[in-house]
Amino acid sequence: MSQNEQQKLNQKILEKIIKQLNLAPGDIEYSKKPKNVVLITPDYLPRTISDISLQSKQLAESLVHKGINTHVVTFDPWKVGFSDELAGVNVHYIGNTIKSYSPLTWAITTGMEIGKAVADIYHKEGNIDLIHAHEWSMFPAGLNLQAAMRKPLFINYYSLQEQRTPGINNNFTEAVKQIEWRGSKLSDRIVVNEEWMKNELLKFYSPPEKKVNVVDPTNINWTKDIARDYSWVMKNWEKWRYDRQSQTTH
Amino acid sequence: MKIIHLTWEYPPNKIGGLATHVEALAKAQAKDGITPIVITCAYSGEHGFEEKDGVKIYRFDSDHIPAEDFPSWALQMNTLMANQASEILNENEDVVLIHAHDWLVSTAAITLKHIYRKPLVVTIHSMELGRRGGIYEDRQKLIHDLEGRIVFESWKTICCSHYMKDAVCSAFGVPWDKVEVIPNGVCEECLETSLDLNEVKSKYSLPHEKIVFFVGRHVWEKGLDVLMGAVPKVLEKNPDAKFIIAGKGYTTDKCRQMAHDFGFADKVAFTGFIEDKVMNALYKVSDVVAVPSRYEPFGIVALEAMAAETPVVVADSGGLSEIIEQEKDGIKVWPNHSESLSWGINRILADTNLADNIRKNAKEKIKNMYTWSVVSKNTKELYRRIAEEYENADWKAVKFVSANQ
Repeated sequence: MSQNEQQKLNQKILEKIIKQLNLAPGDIEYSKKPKNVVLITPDYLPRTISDISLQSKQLAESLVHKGINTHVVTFDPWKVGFSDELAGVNVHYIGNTIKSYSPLTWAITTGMEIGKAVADIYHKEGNIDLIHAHEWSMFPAGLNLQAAMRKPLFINYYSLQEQRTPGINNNFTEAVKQIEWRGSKLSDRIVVNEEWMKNELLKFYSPPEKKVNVVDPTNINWTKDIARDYSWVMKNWEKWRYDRQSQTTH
Repeated sequence: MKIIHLTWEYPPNKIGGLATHVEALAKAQAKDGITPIVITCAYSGEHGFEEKDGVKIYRFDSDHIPAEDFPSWALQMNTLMANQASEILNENEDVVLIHAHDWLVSTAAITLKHIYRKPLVVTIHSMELGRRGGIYEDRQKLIHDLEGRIVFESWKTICCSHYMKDAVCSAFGVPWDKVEVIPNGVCEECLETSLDLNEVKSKYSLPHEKIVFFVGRHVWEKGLDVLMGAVPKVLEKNPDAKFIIAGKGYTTDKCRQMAHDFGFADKVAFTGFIEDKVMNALYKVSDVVAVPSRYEPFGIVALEAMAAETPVVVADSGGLSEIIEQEKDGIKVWPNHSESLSWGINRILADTNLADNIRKNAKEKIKNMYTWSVVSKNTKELYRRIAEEYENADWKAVKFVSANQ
C-alpha cells in the first residue's frame, strides 16, 4: 500500500470514529487546542460576589484537566500583586488604587490593571492563545488585549444592563450598554448560560446568531463544550479576522 | 526615531492649551528628524488618517461616548484610544517610545506601555491639585490618582517649569531625577496677524489710551479679580489706561460687576472669546500685558507677549517666576496682590526707557530659549537617553504572533 493510500485509509477510519462517537471537530483537531488561555474575571473563588466566581473556577480547573495552561486574572483587593497556583490554575490577583466612584470608572481603571497583568503573563509565557472575559466590566480590558495581541476573545454575558435596570436610560446605563454592544460586536465568540439569554442578546445588540454559544453550566459536561469551542475558534479565527477586515475595508 | 504622541486634543480641535503644545512640538520634531505619530480624538465624524507638516495624525471617533461625567468620558475614550494605538503599534514595530500628555490619556498609555513594553514618557502640563487649589471630591481624586499613576509608570516625566517639577515630586513622592524640566516654546510666526493694527486698537480704545491687555480663562487661578482690584490704583496715576480683557469663565460676571460697582466700567472692555488673529494684534498694540495668575504651571501668555515685544507684568508665581528676570525682560509683582500689580503696571507705563529695554531683552530671550526647535532638541535628547537606557534594560517585549502561528 502506498503512503497516499495509507493516509486516505487513516482519514476514513478517523471520520468513522468521529461519526460513531458523535464528536465535534474541535475534539480531534488537537493541534488547534489552545496552549495558554487567560480568563479575566471580576471574582474567583474563594472570593465570591456572584455566580461568576464559581463558574470561572470550574471552567479554569476543567481546562487544566484538559492539559491547557490556564491563567486567571481576577480582582482581589487583599491579595494585590500575588500569584497563586490553585488546583493547577495560575491565579493572579490585581487591585485598583485609583479612586473610582462608579462601576464604570471602576471597570476601566481596573481594565488598566488587568491589561498590565495579562501583558506580564504574555511576556513571561512567550504567548497567549486566547482571552476569555467574564461580564461587561471585563470587556474594555478584553477588547484592548484582543486588539493589541491579535488573539481571539471570548466573552461571557451573565446578564444585560437592560435587564438589570429595565427602562432606565441615563448616562451610566447608556455607557454600560455601549460597552456591552462593543463586546458583542468585536469579540470572536460569545457565551451565554441559557437560550433565553441568547434571545435577549440578539434582541438588544444583534450580534451574528452563529457567534453566540449557549452553554448551560448546570450540564455535567458544560466546560467541555467551552473547551471544544476554544479549539473551533482557534481553528477558524484567522479566517474570520480576514473576513472582518475585508468587510471593513470594503 | 519613531514616537507616538497620545493626546486628547489636537488642532483643529482645541479645548485647552494642550492641542497647541502637541502640534507645535510634533511639527518641530518632524523637522528635527523624528517621525511623530499623533493619536487623538476626532469630533463630528472627522476620524481617519492625515499627514500634515511631517506629522502622521490618526483620529478616532470619540463623538458618541455616553458618560456620567467628564472623567468617565475620558476613561472610555481611553479604551478607544488604546484600540486605535494598538493597530498603529502593530504596524509600526520600530516605535521607540510612547509620549503621553496629561492624565486624560493615562489608562491608554499605561495599558499600551505594559502590553508593548515600550518606554512611556509623560508630560504633566498642569495638576488637578493646582487647578482647583486642593482635592475636595471624588472626581478630583480620580484625576489626581491617575496623574500620580502615570507619573509613577513613566520612564521619565517632563514638566515645563521647576515649579511644576517641585509640585509633581512633592504631590506624588516622585524621585527628583525622574522629572525633567523642558520649558514650553512659542511659535513666533503664529503670532503674525493679517489685521490692521490701528483698526484693532481703535475698535477697543481711544487713540490716546494706553492698553493693558489680559487674555486667559476667567477662573480663580488666573487672577483676573486681582487685576480688577488693581485698576483704580493704575487709573489714579495713568488716567489714560484702558483695560482689555479677553476670554471667558466663571469669574467673568463677578469681575464685570466689580468694574461696575467701583465705577470704572468705561475703562474696562470685556471682549469674550477672540480669534487668534485679533489676540495677536492686541498683543502688538498693547502697552502692557498683565499675567496676574495665582497658579501657573508655565505661563505661555507671558511668552507670547514677549515674542510680540510687549512688556509683561507677571505675578511672581509658578512658572512665571522662572521666565522673567526682574526689570530685565519683564516686571514681577507679588501674587494675589492688587496693589503690587498696580505698581508693576504703573512702572511700565511711567518709564518708556524701561519698557523699551524690556521689549528688546524679552525678544532676545525668546529667540535663545523659548522656540519650539529648542524644545524639540531638548526632548529629542531625553528620548535618546531613554532609548539607550531601555536598550540596556531587561524589560523587553515578546513579539505578538497571530493565534494560529
